[in-house]
Amino acid sequence: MTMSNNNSGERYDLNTSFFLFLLGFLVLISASLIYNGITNLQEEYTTTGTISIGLGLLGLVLAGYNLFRQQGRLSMVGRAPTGPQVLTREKCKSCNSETTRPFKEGEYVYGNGDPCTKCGKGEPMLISTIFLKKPPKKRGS
Amino acid sequence: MVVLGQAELQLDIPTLLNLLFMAVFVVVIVFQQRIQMYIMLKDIEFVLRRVDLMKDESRRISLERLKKNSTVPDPSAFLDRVMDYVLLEPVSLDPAGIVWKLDYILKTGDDRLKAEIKQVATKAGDVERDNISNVVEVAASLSLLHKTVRHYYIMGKKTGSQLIILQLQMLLPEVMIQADALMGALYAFSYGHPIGDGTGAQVAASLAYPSEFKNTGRDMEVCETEFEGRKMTLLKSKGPGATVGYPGDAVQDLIKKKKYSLVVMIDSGVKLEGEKSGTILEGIGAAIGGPGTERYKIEEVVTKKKTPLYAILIRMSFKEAITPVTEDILKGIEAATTRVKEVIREKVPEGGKVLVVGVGNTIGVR
Repeated sequence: MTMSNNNSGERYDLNTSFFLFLLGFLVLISASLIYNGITNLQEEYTTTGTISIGLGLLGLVLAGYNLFRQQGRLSMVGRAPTGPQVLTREKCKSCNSETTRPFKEGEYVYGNGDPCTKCGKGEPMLISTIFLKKPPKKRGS
Repeated sequence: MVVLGQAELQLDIPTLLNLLFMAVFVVVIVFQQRIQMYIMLKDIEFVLRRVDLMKDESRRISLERLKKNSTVPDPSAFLDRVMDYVLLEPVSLDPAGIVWKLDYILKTGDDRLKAEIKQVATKAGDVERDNISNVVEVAASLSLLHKTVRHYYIMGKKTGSQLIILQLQMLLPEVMIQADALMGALYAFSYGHPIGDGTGAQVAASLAYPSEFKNTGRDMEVCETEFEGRKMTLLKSKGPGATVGYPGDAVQDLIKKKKYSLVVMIDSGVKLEGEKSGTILEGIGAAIGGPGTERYKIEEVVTKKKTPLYAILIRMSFKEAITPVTEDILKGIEAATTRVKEVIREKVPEGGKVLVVGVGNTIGVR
């Protein structure tokens, strides 16, 4: 997992090989703890065996979590920022009907919007507000 | 089973594991700080790369805006030069008169940027030019943020100072919040969305509607109207382009010409974590941020004329202040408009005069 920086003048890169080596080492130790635990259980050292297996499993979980986190961060780094979703709310001066639609460049609050389609007069509606659409809530948040 | 001379050494798996753990223990004791520093440096590198990506995106958007409004085929050299502009604050060893010196320097800087953008963005109108100026300023801020983080990162790495790296790593969440906010501001200024900082201007515009504003002073507009038998003067920066104007100069001009019973200022105020966005806060004094020159001018003139100065602030986060208005802040604008009306009814007698100043960037507001 390497992502180098294009600018040669900058002295940082996202080489994660040492981090992966540390994780690999953690996996190795965890596996050996589990093996040790199983051996202890076979020799009827129940307490030592259970603790060893527990610690080994914890090590594996931690290694997996860190790997997952690292992957997420790498994908975040590569993702280009995206623009916000902005909405325009218009109000008809004649029939007071309101519509909300995506914002168009050049619009401004208390300026003229699209013609009203409800009352049929065809007069431009008044832009009452321009606002940011609330992003959908992430699951679990 | 390994036989070493006469002695017999049993190296079964449990023994090997014990040796491995002892080796790990020694390695951790000796290299613990280096491993920790490595992990911290990786954290910084991720953020640095992300900010770098944002900086490149901001430059790309700025360039796109310039090209769209320019006859110059490649304004990238111009953009890079403008993004590196610095503003050198006046010396403060003798502080007497420093406000006016700073005011002069700020105005000169503003004039220079606008004039240079006018030279390149020849096809742009006033509104588009103001927006481009702000887009370039945001791109410059992102570039500065990137340079600062990179500076401490390289310095920490070069000197091997854990103190520098630790401090930088601790500041990373704040760096990301700031970078995200600046990115949001970039899109807002680029497309002309009204931003949280413009809530004061939106309140003034809503109080004025349907009356029209007319230009006054530098980048400001004024509207004379009536409110329940009181003469109401509304002041805000000139919209719908991105500008904060110079409310201090405009307030001084207006107060010197007329006697007001009350001055009400509305602005956005940075909330503390845990406070709800869009709630309002009231107080006394000049509700205006920035380098302090405009605030000084307002405080000076109201003190001389003994005019009461009320402040209404709409709470929002730093990010909300420079990104498009949210629904919570819309509620704050409505609440602030209602409160201004109540304050006028309470404090200004019928036939009296009130000056309402909507402070902030008026982008996307008439």
